[in-house]
Amino acid sequence: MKTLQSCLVPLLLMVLFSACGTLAPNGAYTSKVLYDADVSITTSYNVLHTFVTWERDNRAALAKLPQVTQAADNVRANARAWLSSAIALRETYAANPTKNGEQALTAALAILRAATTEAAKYLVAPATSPAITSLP
Amino acid sequence: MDALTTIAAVNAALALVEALTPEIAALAQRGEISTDQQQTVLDRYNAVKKACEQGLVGSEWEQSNRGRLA
Repeated sequence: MKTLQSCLVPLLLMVLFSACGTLAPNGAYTSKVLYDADVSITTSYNVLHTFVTWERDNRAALAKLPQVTQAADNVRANARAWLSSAIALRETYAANPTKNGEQALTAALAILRAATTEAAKYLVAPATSPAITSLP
Repeated sequence: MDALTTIAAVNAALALVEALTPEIAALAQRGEISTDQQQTVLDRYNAVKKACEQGLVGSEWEQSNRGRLA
């Protein structure tokens, strides 16, 4: 189970920070910056949504790990702001791609990625917590 | 690990893999990103944007202590 955490979180980081590939011409995107931003935003939303949904569905089982529910509540309180900020800056950059706009978008995505990484860690927390894995 | 927590742990792993699977597929494309892939990403982004505009509704987004007495 500890292997699960050691594999999944780095994989998540790799996905979120991925900048591989070039855009085929005549596609929906002409900007790799926008494409990468949209991948990050979508991935982050999926993971955050998965986290809060999973926490809700397993709350009784997670009673031994109250920090997981606390973390989920923190996501619930802030996810809309994190996502809305990233989306707003993405739209601003799409309308007017400047260096400053790209930097602001990058900063917002970094906040989103940090929150997503944290959520991913908590998703695997029950599998690796000593409070749970130790025998009574 | 008691049975209930084991189930929670397995559910979490499955949920995380499911959430990441499309993005893992995108990561695998180290060459040219096809027009189909680009459209898929744009469609997903627009769905997330719409969800945020609607305020992230649903019981999963409600605080865990909602409705409890202070």
